[in-house]
Amino acid sequence: MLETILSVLGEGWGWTLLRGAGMTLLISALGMALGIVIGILGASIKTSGPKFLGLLVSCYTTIVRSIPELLIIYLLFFGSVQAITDLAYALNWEDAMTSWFPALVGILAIGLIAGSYAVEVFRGALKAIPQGQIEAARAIGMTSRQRLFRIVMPQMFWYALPGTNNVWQNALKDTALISLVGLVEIMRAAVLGAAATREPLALYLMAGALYFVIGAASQGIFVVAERHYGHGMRSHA
Amino acid sequence: MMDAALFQHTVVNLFEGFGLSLYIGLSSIFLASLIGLGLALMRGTPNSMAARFSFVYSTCFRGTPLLVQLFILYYGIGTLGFVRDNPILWWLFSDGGRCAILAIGLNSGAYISEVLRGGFQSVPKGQIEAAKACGMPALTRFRRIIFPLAIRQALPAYSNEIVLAIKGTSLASTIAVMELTGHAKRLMNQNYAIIETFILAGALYLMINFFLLACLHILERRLKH
Repeated sequence: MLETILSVLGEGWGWTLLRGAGMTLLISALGMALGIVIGILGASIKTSGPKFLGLLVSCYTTIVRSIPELLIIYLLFFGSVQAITDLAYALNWEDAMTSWFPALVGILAIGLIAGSYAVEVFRGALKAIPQGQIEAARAIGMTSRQRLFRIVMPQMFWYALPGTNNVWQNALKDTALISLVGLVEIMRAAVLGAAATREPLALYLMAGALYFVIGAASQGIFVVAERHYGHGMRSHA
Repeated sequence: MMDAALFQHTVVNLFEGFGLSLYIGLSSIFLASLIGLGLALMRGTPNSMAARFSFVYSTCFRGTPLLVQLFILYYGIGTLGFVRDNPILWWLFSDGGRCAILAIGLNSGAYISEVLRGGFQSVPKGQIEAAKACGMPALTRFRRIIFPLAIRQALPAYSNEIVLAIKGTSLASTIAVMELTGHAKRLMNQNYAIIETFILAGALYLMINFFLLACLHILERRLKH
């Protein structure tokens, strides 16, 4: 097995996989950013918005969380591919569209999926902030904007850190599914390599190892972040 | 919008996939529960090879995407000479459906082992000591004291894993198993009724998940009394 892996690396597939890893990181980071925005908005609506909007958010989280990620990706891809192709043809952007369309679908899909989990993470984080602190801030005359930026947000992010780590790890693994609509990330690079070298086992093991390393490294970053921002915070054991 | 004939065609096709999805889902959940229980018990043995194996297994399977694991099993293992020569192994790895059940079972087993481990850890020490003091043998202790208490604690998290396993069955379509998502993809490509097909397929997945969640909820309630 080791010899096979070395010979596959010698043919240059290591670089292809690493470039794929760059794409995986890019898509999962952008998708995660979108997911956090959705999560914070959804959580704010659920905790202090109008009731029917809160109900809509609940519908969104329940449905997206119980339908397979792959089906959502297919909906976004096949649902927009025709319109986007027509648009690109009209604007003469075909090349840019064929290379970036799967990436856009990926970011949107990861964002929607991560967002559905992030809503609950941020709702829990908002709830964990003691009500007395908000009242105290109001009592000393802080404006609602000051309350948001000085009291609520810093603590919300801290409380949401472990949950965000979970959502991120899932987002990272979900990007593998975007390979099925043609985005060249780790998994697609491995599929191409497996077809070219006829060594699927070696390529897929290497792809798995790459995902593992990225996941472990980001796990480490979250642990460091928790320790770093943990000073002066109430720990939630 | 869809006309009646197209609607009927879509529904009939999706139902064909629905049965296969349900079969793959239930079989892999059964396999995953066995693997998860085994791993959780191994993890509980103090300072042994078994505990280390269980830890490494669950870290590896939870740290990589299910799609990678599925491709390793289906496309990777099949290239090994001894698998091709062994009739039992070849029977297992040459069929997409069996590979999907195995992959989802192995993957979900890693997650379920963590859930059950949490359950086992939550059993109060005093209860086990009391059972020992009464002279209960280890197996009876497990069957009557430890397992019932642990499973009650673990059930809510266990139902989350069930939903994830059902969602995982959609990946079987990537190794040419025509289950629900496979049929949905083909229909989306054929008749361009994309949103309608998605809604129908999504509703079927929702049905499976809600039904299984309801079953577990009833179980949870009955165990409480």
